[in-house]
Amino acid sequence: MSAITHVRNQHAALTPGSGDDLGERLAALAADLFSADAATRAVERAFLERLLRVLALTPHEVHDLAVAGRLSAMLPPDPPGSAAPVRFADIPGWREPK
Amino acid sequence: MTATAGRFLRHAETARKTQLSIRIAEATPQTLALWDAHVQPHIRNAREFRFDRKWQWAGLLKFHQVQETIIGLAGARRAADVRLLQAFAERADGTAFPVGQVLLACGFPFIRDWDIPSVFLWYLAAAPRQALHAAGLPPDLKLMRPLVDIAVQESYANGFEGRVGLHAARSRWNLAANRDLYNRYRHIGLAPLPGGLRASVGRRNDRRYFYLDAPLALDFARRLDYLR
Repeated sequence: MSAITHVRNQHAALTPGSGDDLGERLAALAADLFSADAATRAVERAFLERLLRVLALTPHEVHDLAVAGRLSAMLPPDPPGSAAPVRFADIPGWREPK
Repeated sequence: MTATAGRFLRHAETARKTQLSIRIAEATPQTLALWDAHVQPHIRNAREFRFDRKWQWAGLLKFHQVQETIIGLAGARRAADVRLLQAFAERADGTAFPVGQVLLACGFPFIRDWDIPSVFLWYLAAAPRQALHAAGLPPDLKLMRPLVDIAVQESYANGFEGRVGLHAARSRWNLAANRDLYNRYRHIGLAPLPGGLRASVGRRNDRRYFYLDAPLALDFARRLDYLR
């Protein structure tokens, strides 16, 4: 669980007023996300590693990576969606009364 | 809230001062696919420098939503609502074309005062001239103010008095692009965060953070009222 310790230290350093128990809560959260019936320990480990990579970044670091064009490697590929045309008149205006 | 606040733009202007109808809407998988199919390729292949050359919007949306959820669950602060909003123009055949989009964190701590909420504008992109031309739209459409205005109006709608924060992207090697983007944000009325202030958690203030507080937001919004 050295990775969780890393996250704990990271967030303790980065989060003002987080309280001493933030690291404990993060660790508990990560543990909760483990599937009780995961197929193998390796699957759990791979999942946890991915989770920790997200946890260890601040939103500002995500922004920096995206601008540098280096975030793609951390994102799962998205299947291409349907780019079927949409009529302008059918676009529901955001926060406009229906 | 003022008379000018809380109303999204209905028109955008070209450099020749002609106007075009636009509509602001929340992105759907289908409309994001429109951007990926018809706009992002022009950005990727643009001759000029683009900060957004490699952005994957669907991934960015998911990434920030997951982060905010975890931040909220961990109790570090209240999670912000992450939203991707697009501006659409109407093509000659009546179909909608995405001319710009923004990724917002609504409820993010205001960079001038961490104790009050704001809208943080994480990503902003306007369709390049080539994409607009290919879609049969005026290539000289002016989009930066209208796209920042989406964040301002969303801030009003959430009760944040127009407060907005953003960071001007920075390239490690293209200093001219850095300078140009900085000057453009200043030119449209955003205030740079003073050097003595920390921008946010876990990030040094590199003097490329900008904000609109309530008075600045009101002034910013009023200047665009003729397009609402």
